[in-house]
Amino acid sequence: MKQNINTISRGQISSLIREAFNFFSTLLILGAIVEFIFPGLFSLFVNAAILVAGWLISLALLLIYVRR
Amino acid sequence: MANFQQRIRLVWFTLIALIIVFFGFQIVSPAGSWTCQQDFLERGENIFNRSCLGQASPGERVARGPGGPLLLLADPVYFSVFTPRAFSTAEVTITYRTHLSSSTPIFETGFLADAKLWRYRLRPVYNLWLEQGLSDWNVITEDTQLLFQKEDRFKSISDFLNAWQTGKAICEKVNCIGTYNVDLQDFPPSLNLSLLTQTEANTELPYSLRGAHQFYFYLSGNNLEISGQLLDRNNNIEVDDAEFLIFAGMRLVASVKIEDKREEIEMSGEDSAPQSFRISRSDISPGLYRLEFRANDDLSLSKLSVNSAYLSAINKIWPDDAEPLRLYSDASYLQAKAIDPAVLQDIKFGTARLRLNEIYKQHEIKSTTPGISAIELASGGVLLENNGVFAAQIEQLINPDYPRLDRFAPLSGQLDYVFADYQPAQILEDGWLQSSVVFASGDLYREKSNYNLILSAPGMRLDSGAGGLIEIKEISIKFSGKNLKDKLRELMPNF
Repeated sequence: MKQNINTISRGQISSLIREAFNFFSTLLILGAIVEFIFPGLFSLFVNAAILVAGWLISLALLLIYVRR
Repeated sequence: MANFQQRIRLVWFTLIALIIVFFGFQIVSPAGSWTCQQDFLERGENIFNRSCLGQASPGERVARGPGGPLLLLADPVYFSVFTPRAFSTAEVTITYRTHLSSSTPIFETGFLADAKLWRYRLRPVYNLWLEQGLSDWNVITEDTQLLFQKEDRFKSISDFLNAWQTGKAICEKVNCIGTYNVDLQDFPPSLNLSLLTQTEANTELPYSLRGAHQFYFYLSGNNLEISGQLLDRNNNIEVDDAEFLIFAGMRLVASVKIEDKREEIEMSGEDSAPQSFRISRSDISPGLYRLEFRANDDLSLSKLSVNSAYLSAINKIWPDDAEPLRLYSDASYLQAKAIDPAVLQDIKFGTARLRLNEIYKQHEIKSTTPGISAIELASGGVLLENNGVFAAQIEQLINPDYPRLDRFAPLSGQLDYVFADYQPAQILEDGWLQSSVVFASGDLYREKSNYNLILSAPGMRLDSGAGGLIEIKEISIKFSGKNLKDKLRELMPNF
């Protein structure tokens, strides 16, 4: 039972990390498109550095945790 | 497990959709308004996003004070102002404290209107003369119009304007009416045109001039003949088209565009062969005209000839020749700037001397004698500016403009009246002042979603301790334009 709970939790965390990476990737692409068409609009409301940091962290977690 | 993943995916899909809707809302601005505001007393930068009002530049002209306000130390200072789309009106509200003096009495703001000629549309924020300097004059206020008079002659502004517009004798001496921020197209020029030379004559400017210029000239007959030559230096990458526009007051009466079809390649540095042009009209009424030569600094205008006894460059002249030259001006001061170290020199202005010892620096000199002053330069290449006119001969000087209430205003004795369109600053607590100015922004220059805002206090310089400073607490710019409903009505009239 304990092993099943750990397996389920690990699977959910793995999904969470994968979807978080997908979210940040989509947001980055959206930001790039908005900035290309309307320069300055996306960065007016979103700090690109924080967004990229979130994407890098999710990528790192994806590579370390999900692959393992 | 699959359910969990789908739920997570739904959550971030929804977030992305909301973000797209949010940005769509910002782009469309369905309410028809957009506000950009910055409070300089707020400590620290916002780490989550940047401000719609860019950093002040050049950076060395500003500082942050101990209480947080932005300090303007020198003139001018520029900001970029982001808007998601273009709007038709911009209201700029500035909360500030001034530390101005008689040498820096004006604080103005504006937007870049013409990127080619680098021309800003300015409006007054604070005018020391109108706020404090004429306190012992009689003043009449009607809405935003102010009339200051040394003697209590007129009982209302409309009486004064009627007398002025109908040409009644208001002044006992020449140029006794000073103006500020007033549209004078419905008013007679400050000089009596009937006293001008009425015989036909031809005037050729003996010097070549660099870049955009404007001229006044007077026609005594019905013919107009303008000719000259253009020289393209091909130093910049832009195509160097030129345009000549002739105005009677604000009315355009003739225009000619000369496109750059010259063989030489841009940025080659190779001078083009002189290109002659001629403008002829036989249906022009006699009177006062303004010639505007619109071009960038890559073009030189030489052998400019007009069939008029008068030909005066307005507010600016940039002679381009290497030989010594002599000019005349009716203004009491002169500003000079050199951008080439080879043309640094001593300039003679009347009996005063000005040493140009640094390039890109605005040098300034006041005349020690009233009236017309001669300007002598060892060579051209120096940009000369003032609030008057320049001519090659004294008898060619013509200036229909009224004295402006700027930093060189002749307040000591010449003026008897000052007429201004000006809203005095609102006094807030702790000595703060607040002023609002409105611009029609539909035709302002906008590049990459940004307008270019300027804060200007002419004469305020870093190297002059007497220049003063301005503390800026807050800048708020409210843009307004068509809302979504208006736009839909426009696209679908039956809607």
